[in-house]
Amino acid sequence: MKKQLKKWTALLLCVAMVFVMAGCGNAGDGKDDGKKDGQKQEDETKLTDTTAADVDETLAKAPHFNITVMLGSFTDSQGVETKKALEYIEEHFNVTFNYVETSNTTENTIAAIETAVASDTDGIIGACVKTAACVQAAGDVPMVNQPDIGEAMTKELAGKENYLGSVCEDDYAQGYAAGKALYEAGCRKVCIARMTVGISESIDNRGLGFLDFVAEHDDMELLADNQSRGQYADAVATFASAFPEMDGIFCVIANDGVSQAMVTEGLVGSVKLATVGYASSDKQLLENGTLVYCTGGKAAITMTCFLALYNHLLDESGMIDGETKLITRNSMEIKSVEDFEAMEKYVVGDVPPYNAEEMMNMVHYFNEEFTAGDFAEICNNYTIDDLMSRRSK
Amino acid sequence: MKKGMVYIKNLMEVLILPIALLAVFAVATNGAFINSRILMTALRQSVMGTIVCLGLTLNLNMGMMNFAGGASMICGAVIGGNLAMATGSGVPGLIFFCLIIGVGLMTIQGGLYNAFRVPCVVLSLGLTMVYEAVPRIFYPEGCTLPIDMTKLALSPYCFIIMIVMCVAFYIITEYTVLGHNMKAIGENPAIAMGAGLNIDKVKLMSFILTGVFFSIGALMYVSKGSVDNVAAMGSMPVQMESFTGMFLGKFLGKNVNKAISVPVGVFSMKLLASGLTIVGLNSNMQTIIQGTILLVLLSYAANTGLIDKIKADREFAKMARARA
Repeated sequence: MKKQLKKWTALLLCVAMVFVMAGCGNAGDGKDDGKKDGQKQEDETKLTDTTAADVDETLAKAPHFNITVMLGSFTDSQGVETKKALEYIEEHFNVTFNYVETSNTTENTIAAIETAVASDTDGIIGACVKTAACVQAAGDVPMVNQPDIGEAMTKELAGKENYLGSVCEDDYAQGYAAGKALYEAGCRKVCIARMTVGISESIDNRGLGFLDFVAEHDDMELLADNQSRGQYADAVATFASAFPEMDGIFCVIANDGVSQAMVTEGLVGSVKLATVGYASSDKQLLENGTLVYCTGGKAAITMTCFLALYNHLLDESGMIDGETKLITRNSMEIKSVEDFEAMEKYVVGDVPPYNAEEMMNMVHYFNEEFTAGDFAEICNNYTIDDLMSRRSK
Repeated sequence: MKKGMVYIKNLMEVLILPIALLAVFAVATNGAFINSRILMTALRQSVMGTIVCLGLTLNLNMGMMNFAGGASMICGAVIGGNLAMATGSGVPGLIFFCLIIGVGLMTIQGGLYNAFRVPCVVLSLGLTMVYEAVPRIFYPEGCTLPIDMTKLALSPYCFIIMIVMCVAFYIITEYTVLGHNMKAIGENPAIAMGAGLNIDKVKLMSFILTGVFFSIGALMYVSKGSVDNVAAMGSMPVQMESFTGMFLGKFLGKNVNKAISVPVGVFSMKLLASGLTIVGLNSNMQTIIQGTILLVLLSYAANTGLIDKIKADREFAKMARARA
């Protein structure tokens, strides 16, 4: 009896082992052509039900790429967040990043691109590409840019096949939304602190969006427009001293100095603030109702650039529309303490806005059904609620 | 009595620029600009610039242009601020760490200057890159202080610090042997050396003193709340903000000590910036006006000798004609 039980157990274990082996064998076949419908369904199930180890194993089997990533700075709040996200990608995907800071100057960008090309980089994620010369410097190396390069330059680069396109957030819409948030909070006499016009088109657009919103509302008055290169806290102090009637401030870049100036200038309770981006001390301002609008999760811009480039490198899948050469991502709006806490937890935490499995599903090489349309939709659906619902799953 | 009158006259010469600016903006804003809060805000905003300017002036008096001021301030502010938070030593710790780092960096710079005989401009540009990189290694996220550690940037503390630094500068340059030695080397290094001055030692001391001023500048900088790291000469704007005030102070302070003219120069620039914002001028016009005013004043300062010479020549010609 005992012997028979052993035999049956051994047989069952063998059958189980065969199933397990078969399952392992299928994991690496995700990219095979000519799959039958049944097999595809099985793969879809596999992609959604995979464990973290399976994801890493699948990602590790893909070819290795060296990618150069440029950013104005990796040490400001957005830069740190972005680098953290890229390090996460490096940990899970079979890629090596070379980080280059360009200080947002065209000269540095061209020099960095030329150096990257000379060092046999497989792809470039560019920043501050303001002239066609930057893209031309890349030669035939595929390149994705952040932020938007504008319509005229996109047309100029129409023939450059290595230029895959740009990824940006709608800065104008963010400025406009900031104006709206201040208006809805009851602000009618407002000031704007912005970067000197002409340095950064994307930051200029934030200011333009806000100014357009103010111009469209007759009951809203712009008291002062201060332009400087980063001295926003001083601007807040000047506004506070010169315009006691002021009830709202829009600052084109979030900054801890600005947040603290709101407190030290005694503006809490009487003046509302709206910013693009966020500062670490913004939570307190949201709690006391001073901050009515800010945005976060900008690391997703560079992650999107990576995914567009990675798709191209793996199987030449085009994830950015060939005509507009542009993906405009939705910006993550933060209007409450709950939003801020969720962002701290899910964006600034250990896992970036898209985790390894979600990113793997956005790569055509691993997920054959994934299209450019799906990619654009994901970018467009990016909100704090979207992120929270993804993480709760 | 006569000496006192001369001093008052010299002081009035320094104060004429801010008074003129106040008058112009008072007219432009129907008197709204003459407001104690506006003036106090401009004065508060000029504290850091004044202290950095005084530090730069110590080097400049000896013919050394130091471009590493902004970078050493960012380095001191980021590392000092983070160390103060890590040790929980609060504001006293912040002062201590900023001083140690700022003085240390400038001592290294002075030592390298003496050792390698590289022109100060070249050396400071090289060190700027090093000073910018160092805090990024240890604290890539920069430094954000909790609000209870930012009180030094507020009134009255910031004004007390500014007064202390101005008085210290005045005493150093007017009443110490080192100050006189620095002046002597700045005016004619060959004669100073001939007179037996140890130029290397005096220059090293001037770097150390500059380090003290930059440290306090860093303290005021980080006390504004947060300091981001920079790269690739990104620290230059921090220092350049003070440069205009420094040259203006030099122009205004021909007959008074820089401890008086530099704060007035920096304050005037802040007043101008605030006034132009309040008047509602766009950024381009603001920059053009600021640049033009500075250019006119500095051109006048640079050519005052020429004007005196023309006047003297005319007098001489007149006398010659009268004799003929």
